[in-house]
Amino acid sequence: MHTADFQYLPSSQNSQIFIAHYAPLEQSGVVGDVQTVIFVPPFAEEMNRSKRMYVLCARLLADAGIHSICFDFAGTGDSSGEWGDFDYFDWEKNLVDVCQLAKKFTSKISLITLRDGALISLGLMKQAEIKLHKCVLWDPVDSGEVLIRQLIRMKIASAMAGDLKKITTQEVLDGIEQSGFLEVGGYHVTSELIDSIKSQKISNSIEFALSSTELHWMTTGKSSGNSQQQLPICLTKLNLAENLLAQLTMHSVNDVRFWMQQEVTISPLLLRVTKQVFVS
Amino acid sequence: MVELEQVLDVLAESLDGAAQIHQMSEEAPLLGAIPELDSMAIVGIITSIEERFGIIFDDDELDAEVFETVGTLRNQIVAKMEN
Repeated sequence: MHTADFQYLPSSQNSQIFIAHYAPLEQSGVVGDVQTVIFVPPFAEEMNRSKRMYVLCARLLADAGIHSICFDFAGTGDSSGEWGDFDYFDWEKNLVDVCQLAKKFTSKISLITLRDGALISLGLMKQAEIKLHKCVLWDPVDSGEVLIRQLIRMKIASAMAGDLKKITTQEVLDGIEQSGFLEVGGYHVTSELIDSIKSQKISNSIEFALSSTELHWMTTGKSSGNSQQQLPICLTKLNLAENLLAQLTMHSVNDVRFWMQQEVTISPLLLRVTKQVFVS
Repeated sequence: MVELEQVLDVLAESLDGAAQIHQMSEEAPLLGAIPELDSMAIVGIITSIEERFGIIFDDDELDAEVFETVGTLRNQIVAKMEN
């Protein structure tokens, strides 16, 4: 079985970022330029539910001759620090540092993101003018507003599922105002973090991304079908030029939304479609 | 009109581990009866319903009664679509 080399990478606020590097197998017979793929984690509970898929995909790509790097943002997973001590800007710095590490292996760097990993990645690409080889977005969240609304709904749904007293959106918002944070699923999301997440929008950064990289937008769902998918609503409003749209490939993947499942779940078809993006 | 099968499709999409979703009737209980139906699954189901049926729920319309059975969930979707 393909194993990883583990290391800690110094990053923002003296944090140590946990890195798992899956190097290509010697017998993989890489032809052409060597590639590196970085897996950008999503937020909070979705991060925990994505770890298995990320590791499986990293191994799959490494077996095919591609350097694959999984990491945890500061204050999450196996990286140092406490959740709540870091904000979006620290995590952007983490991603820049991981990209720098990846440059040791090759200049051909690609990203795979899940959910809001797309927001932080595309935002950073634009801001730092980072040009990637390819970018694969798994079920991207198109704005930070949507993500925060989902967290608030999760708080309401927790009370519902736990047979507790019904809470309203206003009560949740009042709670954030009073305490300075939203507690959901064991995570304390501070007002500052909420504000920085809310400011993120894919529509703000998509044009730069499409002008500099090949973008693959993958939507999963058991009833989706396997055909080419329509442009997402957040992009149709932008009237993107044809040369930019030519850089965008939509994939509708008829497989389970693994990140939504309570048990660790694998989406084999999503792994296969993703591998095809990098290994033709 | 919202068909029972359409509601079951949305549930099956979000509750992959839950057995035999497509055999469920209108009276089949949801909250408290399906262990996989946690807060994240509920939010996923709501989002899928909004995308599929082109409706937006006001968060305060969502309570345990909506998720009591397959039928109550279907009724809520129908009510939103008629508004």
